[in-house]
Amino acid sequence: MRKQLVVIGGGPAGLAAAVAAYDAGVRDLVVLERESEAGGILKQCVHNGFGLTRFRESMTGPEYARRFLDEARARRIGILTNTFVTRLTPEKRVSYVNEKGAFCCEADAVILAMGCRERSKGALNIAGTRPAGLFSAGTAQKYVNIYGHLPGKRVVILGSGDIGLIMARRMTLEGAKVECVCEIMPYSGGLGRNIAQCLDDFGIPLLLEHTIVSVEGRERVEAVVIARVDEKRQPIAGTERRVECDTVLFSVGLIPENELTKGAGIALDGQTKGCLVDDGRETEIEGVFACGNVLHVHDLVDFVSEEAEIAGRSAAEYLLHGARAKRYLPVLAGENVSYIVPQRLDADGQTPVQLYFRVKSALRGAVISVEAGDFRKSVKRIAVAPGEMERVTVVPSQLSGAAALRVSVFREE
Amino acid sequence: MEREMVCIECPRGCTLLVTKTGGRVRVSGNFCPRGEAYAAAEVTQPRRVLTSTVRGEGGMIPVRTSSAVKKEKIFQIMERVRAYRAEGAVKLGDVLIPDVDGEGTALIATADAVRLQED
Repeated sequence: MRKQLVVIGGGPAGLAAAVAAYDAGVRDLVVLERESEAGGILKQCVHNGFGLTRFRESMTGPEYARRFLDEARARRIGILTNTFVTRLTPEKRVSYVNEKGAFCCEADAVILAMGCRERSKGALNIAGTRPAGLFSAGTAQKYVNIYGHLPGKRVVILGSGDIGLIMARRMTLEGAKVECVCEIMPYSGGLGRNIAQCLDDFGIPLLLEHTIVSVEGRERVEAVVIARVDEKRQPIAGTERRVECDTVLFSVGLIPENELTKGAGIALDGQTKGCLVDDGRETEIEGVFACGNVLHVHDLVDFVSEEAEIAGRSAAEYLLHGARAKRYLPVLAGENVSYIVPQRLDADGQTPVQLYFRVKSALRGAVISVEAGDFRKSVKRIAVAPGEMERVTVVPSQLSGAAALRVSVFREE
Repeated sequence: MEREMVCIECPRGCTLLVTKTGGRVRVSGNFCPRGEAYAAAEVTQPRRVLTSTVRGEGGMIPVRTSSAVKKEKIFQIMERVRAYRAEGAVKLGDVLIPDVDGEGTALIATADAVRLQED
C-alpha cells in the first residue's frame, strides 16, 4: 500500500491532525488505531471539564472525542481500527497488523500520535509482597467506566495527578471508601479544581509530603504503611502509619509511548521523553511529525487538539508544497523551566508561534521572560505550577539575528 | 462569614474569597462572571454536574446530568443511576432517566452504545 499521509493513533491528537491535514488539502490519508474504536483515552474519561478552553463548554471525554470523530467521518477519512503498528522506518515505511494480516505502507508523511501510558508501580521502589489490589489509576478507571467492575472497597491513592484525583471521586461515587491521597511532593501534580471537586467535596484527605513505604497482604492488599517524607523525599523514621485498605491506586505520572519513534532512530528529549520538534511539529526526520501526549504530556485535551492541528497543517504543507530548507533557532529552557516545546523554531516564520512549557517549581506571582538576542518580552502570571502547562507567544521573524531563544520564569519582584 | 475556595468552572482554577454578611454575598478573586456565580451558589446551594456510567446491553454507557444537581443529593441520585439498566441501542444525548433528582434534571447518555449481537 502507498499513502500520502499515515497518522499513527486515533485518539484526540490523531483525529484532530487528520482532520486538519484533510482541510489543508490532503485526501490520500489513513488513521491507524489499535483499539476497536477511535477516541483514545477519552472513551474512559466519563467526567466533564473537557473543551472549556476550546469550545467554551464543559464536555465529558466521550462527548469531546465524538466531536472529532464526527469531523473525521464527515470527511470520510479512513480509520483502520484493531490495527497495531509494529514498526516505522526512517524511510517512512509503516508496518502494521490487523485481523486481515500483516501489511506495510509506504507513506510520504507520517504523524506520530500514539499518546502516552502510565508510569507503573514497578518504576517505584516500594517494599512488600505483590498481592492483588494494586492498580494504576487509569487501569482502575477502565475497570469502572468500561467494564463496570469496582476494583475494591477501601482505597489508598498514591500520587495526586489528575487521574488519581478523578478516580478518588469516581470510586467514592460507586460506593468505595477512599482513605487518603498521598503526594510525595509539597504540592499536588493535579489541577486545583480537581482537588476541590474530587477530594474536598467528599472529605478525602490529601496528604502532601507523604508516601507509601510498604504494602501488606499476601493474596490481597490488607494495608499500606504511609510516612511523611523530608526535603529529599526520603521517609522520616517514626512518622509511619498503617492504613487498612484492599486497593492501592498509583497515579504517578505518564510517559509518552515512543517505541516506534525510537525504532525509527528519532532522538528524544530527555525531559519531555518525546521527539525534538520544530514549530510545525516536524521531527528530525523530514516528513515525520508528532503531536499530543506522545510529544509531551499535556494536562488539557484542548491543547492536544490545538497542537495536533499544527502538525496536520504542517504535514499538508510538506506534502502539497514540498520540503523547504529551514534555518533553525534553538529554543532553550531557562531558569525554573523544566522543558519547552517546540525545541527549535523556523527562524523565518512569519506567523505567531505558541511555546508550551512547564515550570520546575510553583510560584505565586511570576514573570515569564523571553530572551532572544536583543528581543525581550515578559508576561505576568498570578500563579504558576508544574502541574499546569504555560504558554507564551513569539513571532520568529521578529527575532532577527538571535542565536537562541530562552524562556525563564522568575518570582515577580 | 468568610470562605476561600477554588473555582471549579474552568482549568484556570481561580482562588475565590467569598464574604457573606446577612443575605449579601460578595465575591473577589474571580477572573470571570462564572466564578462569581459559582461562589455565590457554593455558600447558598452548592451544585455539581454528576457524571457516571450505567449498565447497557452491550456494556457500560457513560452518562451525565443535563444540568448541575444539588450536591447533597449526589449519593441519592447515584443509587438510581446504579440501579438503572438501559435497554436496546442508545444514542449520545438520549434521555435515560427524565427526572433523576426529583427536580426535573435528566440523566443523559454521553456516547452511543450498541446492543451486543446475539450469537
